[in-house]
Amino acid sequence: MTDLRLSRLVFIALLALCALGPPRIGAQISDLDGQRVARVAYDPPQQPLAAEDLKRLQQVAAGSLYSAKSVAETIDALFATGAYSDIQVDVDRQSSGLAVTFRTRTAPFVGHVKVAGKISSPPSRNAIATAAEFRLGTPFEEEALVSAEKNIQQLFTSNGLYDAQVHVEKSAEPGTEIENVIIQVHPGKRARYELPTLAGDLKLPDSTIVGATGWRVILIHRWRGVTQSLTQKGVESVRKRYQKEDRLAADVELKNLDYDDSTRRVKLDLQIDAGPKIQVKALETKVGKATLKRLVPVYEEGAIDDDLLYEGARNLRDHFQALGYPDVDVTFRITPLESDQRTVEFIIARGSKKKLGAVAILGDHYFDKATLRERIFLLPASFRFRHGRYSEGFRRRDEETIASLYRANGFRDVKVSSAVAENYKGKADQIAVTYHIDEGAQWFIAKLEFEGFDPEDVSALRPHLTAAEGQPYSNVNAESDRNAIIDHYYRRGFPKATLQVTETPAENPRHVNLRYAIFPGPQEFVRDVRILGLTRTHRGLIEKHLAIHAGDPLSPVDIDLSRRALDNLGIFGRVNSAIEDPDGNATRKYVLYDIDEANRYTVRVGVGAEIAQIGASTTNLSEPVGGTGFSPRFLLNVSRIDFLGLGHIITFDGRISNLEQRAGLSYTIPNFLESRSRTLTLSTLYDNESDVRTFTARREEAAIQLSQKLSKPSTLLVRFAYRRVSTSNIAIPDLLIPQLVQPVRIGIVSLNYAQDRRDNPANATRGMYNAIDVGVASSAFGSQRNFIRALGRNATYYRLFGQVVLARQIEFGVIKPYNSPAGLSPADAVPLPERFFGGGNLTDRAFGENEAGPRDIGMAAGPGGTATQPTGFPLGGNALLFNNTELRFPLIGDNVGGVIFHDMGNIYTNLSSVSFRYHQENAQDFNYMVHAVGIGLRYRTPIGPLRADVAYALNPPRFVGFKGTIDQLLTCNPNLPASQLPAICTGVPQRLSSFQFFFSIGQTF
Amino acid sequence: MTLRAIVLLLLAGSLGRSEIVDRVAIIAGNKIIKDSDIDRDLRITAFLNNQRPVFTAAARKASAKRLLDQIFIRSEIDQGEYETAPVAEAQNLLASLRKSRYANDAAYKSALVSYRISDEDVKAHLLRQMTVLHFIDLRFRPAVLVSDDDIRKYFDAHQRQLEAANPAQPATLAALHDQIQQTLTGEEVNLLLYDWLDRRREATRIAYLEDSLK
Repeated sequence: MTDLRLSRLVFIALLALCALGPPRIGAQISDLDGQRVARVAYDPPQQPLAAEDLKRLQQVAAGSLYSAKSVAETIDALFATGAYSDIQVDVDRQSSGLAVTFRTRTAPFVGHVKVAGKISSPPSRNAIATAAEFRLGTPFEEEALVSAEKNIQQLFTSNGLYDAQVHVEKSAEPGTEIENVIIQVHPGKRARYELPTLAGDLKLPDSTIVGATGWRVILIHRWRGVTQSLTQKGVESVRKRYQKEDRLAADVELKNLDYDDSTRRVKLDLQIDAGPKIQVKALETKVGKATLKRLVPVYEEGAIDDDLLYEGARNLRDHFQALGYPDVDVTFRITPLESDQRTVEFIIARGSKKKLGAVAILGDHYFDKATLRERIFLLPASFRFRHGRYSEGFRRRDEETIASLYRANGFRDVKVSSAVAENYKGKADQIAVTYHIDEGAQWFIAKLEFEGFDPEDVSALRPHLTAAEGQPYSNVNAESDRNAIIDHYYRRGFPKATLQVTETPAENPRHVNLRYAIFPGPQEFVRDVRILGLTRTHRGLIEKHLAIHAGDPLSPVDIDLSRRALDNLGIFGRVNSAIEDPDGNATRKYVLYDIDEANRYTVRVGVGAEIAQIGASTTNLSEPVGGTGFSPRFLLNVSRIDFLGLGHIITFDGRISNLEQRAGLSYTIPNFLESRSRTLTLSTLYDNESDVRTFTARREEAAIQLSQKLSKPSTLLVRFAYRRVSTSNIAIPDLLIPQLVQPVRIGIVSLNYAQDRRDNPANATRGMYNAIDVGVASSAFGSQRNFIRALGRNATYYRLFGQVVLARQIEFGVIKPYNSPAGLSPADAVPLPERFFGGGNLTDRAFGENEAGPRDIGMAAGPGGTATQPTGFPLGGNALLFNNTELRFPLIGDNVGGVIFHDMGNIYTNLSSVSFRYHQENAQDFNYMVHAVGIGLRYRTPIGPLRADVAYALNPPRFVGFKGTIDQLLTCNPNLPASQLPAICTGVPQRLSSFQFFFSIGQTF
Repeated sequence: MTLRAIVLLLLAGSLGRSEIVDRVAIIAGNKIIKDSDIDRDLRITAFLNNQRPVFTAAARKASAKRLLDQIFIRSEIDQGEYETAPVAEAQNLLASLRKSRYANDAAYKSALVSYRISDEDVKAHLLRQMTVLHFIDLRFRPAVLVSDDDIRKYFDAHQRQLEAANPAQPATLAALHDQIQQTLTGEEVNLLLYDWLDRRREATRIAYLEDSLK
């Protein structure tokens, strides 16, 4: 009995152990198979995947029969999303069935990487962030914190910051699985170089090598601070120093960097093998050293081998062929090492100079010759290319270009060859090249089928596809279609889309049936957009600029568009975008934007000088046409961006020079009223300007301006300006023209419309530019003068042939005063600074800058009074008309061009005085059209062509001036009889110079 | 009566207790090995070797290592676009195994049930093995060059063992040339494979969620 009880107790104890012991793993997998699943749950309930994804991936459902295989497949599928770092499945046997619980741990992802602390660049903040090697949106790994710290420390060390302290830590982004990374740095003091250790076969004095490194400041001999780039540059400079000594294969290696923390110095060990002197020579034909260096890659590679020498020979041959020596023969030889020297000799048998007389094409039927010729690189001799353009390399390239064109149009078997004929047209110095085209048969598409496509996609795609029934067929076009189709699907959130192109022979000969079969894969959507890294910018500002939202197809193109829109706000230092876990197989993914806010303040200081015709001398009036002068210029620009976190910009702009003193403050609201193409600007301005020689104009202005981009080429601008204009430093004594120079307040509303369809605004070759500006100054706006001002400009550009461009421009403007104040004639009602001034490099090159139009011819001091002594200074006018015509053509190669131009026009007293008259009637007549012809040179640069023009005025104006000082002028009292006036009061007839010279950047128009 | 009540109570407690049925055991890069993978591998290996399955910690660790190696190889097969072995090859292998071990289909199925595996599991396993063998052959064998000198040295060093292993034929270098060449090639291929696997293991981030598998 006792035994029985004991055995029962043991049994009970075993059961208890089973009940209370640790959970068993996988031991009874099969036991559960086939039992009903009562419930499926997740722990924690809040899962990183979207509900749709979870449902799609979960293979175990409540009500179904349990299967270990399904559980395993679910774990695999969930893990493949990349959203989990651990998954465990528990089963609870309940009376109602099995309760299956997926216990998960969410995988973290890399978010914002912030570099905090004072930066001693280099390395820059961006370089530090890059060295950390955290990529936005990729899985975050704890170990990466350690390796980031190590990498950054290494970066600091290589930049001489040996005492730098680096600490990298993570910080969870609340409510997400994102881990932000904070890199706290304290760079410490930068070490300096010291005398490096030099070892090996130097063949140069130590001091020369040390000097070449650039690690010590010249003259003062202070060692520079260590930076990675300076170290690399130093080593490279030593190598170049050896090259200068013809030791082209010199080997310079940085072996070691030793840091001495007691002196904070870095000693570098350089191992040098100078190698022999290698001279590269050209025999039989003279070749400059610079040309040899450019064409023989031995210099660049710092090594000598047959491959480099053959390449050098090929380059030399092409070079001479391009110069008109088609029969050039280039060989090379290397002399054995002797007395520390080897010589590479290029033997260049140049042959006689020949012109490429003609380039002919034979056997072409499908394309017209013009189509083929515009693809051919060889050019027959012309004014521009005196010997034509020829080399074997170019000829082979042309053959391939022509063949590719045919292949793309269905000529699968096209063959293109070329032959060079000597003694073209019986001339020994001329050759001709003939391209022979054997077109072969053209293949066509009989039938084009789409498989797996939605009809809507086919309709959307068709205009972008090259393949169409009845059209020529080529593999190249099919490949191009493949790219277009994949791109279409990619943009719509199908990153795994693939296309199968099948080509089968059709019934008709030379026809194929083409089938495009798409396998789109799962479509991915935006689960949400997460913005990281913001500290002061309003989130609303960001969201306004996002083209992608939750629920949209996950389009990398739209993601990038939004990134660029944010970048274009100009308030961020860096904007990164990424898809969180891009490789995961979830169909709903987060889009991340990681933003580094830029420094709020930008300060720019500039110092410069201007050489121009500077006049406005208040003491000497002898040069009404101005004299060349020098004006130093200082600039200060301070911007505060992202004001109030709204993306607004406050800018102060100041400049001081002899010619101009200017201070402006503006407040810019980009994307005004939620339109990306609308900008509102409020501004104030103080400006003291002396660019017109007659006077200094002072302007105190407040303005509000709204600009709206209507379309890509069109912009509309509405502006209200209220300003006080006055003049000072008047060359013509103000007592003589008192009404003109009194300070006046102008309130003007203007409307400006510009339409720019030029291909390149800096150097247009086709297209047009139209602009019209109409303003009304009225007492209704607080103006003391009433006038209407209109200015229009129309320019067109035509490519005549090749690169020859005809450009023309007409500019017309008029100021119409109305309700003039009592005592002022309509002509005088417009204050001097509001008038049109013109002439010079942008309007009419017959004149110097602002020298066109009416001049001071003397005027009555009062009604019925005698005219004052004329000074001849420009007074501006109320109408303008200028017309410019230019023929622009290439001159030497592709970068140097020439211009022949004709300018005509003038500034006129008023609209009714506008005239096309050629002759000036007398020295008081300025209302006639002044013509200039001239030539110019243009040198192409990335910022526009450098311009040098010389103009000859055909009918420059004559006028009467005054040779003396202002004080002397004041002695010329108009009320005194002529006999009592000093001799100096006699007017001096003058004439504008017929020749004018202009240097500037950019085309005239 | 009291005892019965206690037993029922404990059983009820057992019913309400959860058990872990599967979990991620190892993460290698973006691939995982689950407990169920190790369990299945042990069962299929035991089945193919005609042994009783053993689930000791050492056996599980060895299985995990095998499965890790398979992950590296499968990844290389995918990336290098190596072809999968023909299904027929795996089927033939299984057919010959069935023929040699089991009298009839019922005996084979009964064996599968006793090992708690399915016919599909075995077929897939064999196919994977054949694919791996093909891959090794294509990936590493071309890099192996066995010279006549190597063969002679091997022959000299192992002459006695070769004589013992080939009693039916004369143990001359000429007669055993091909056999030695095959042996040496196999050894070299194995070396290359192990070296490659070691490098892959080092280059892959491997997280062991179960310490016993390390």
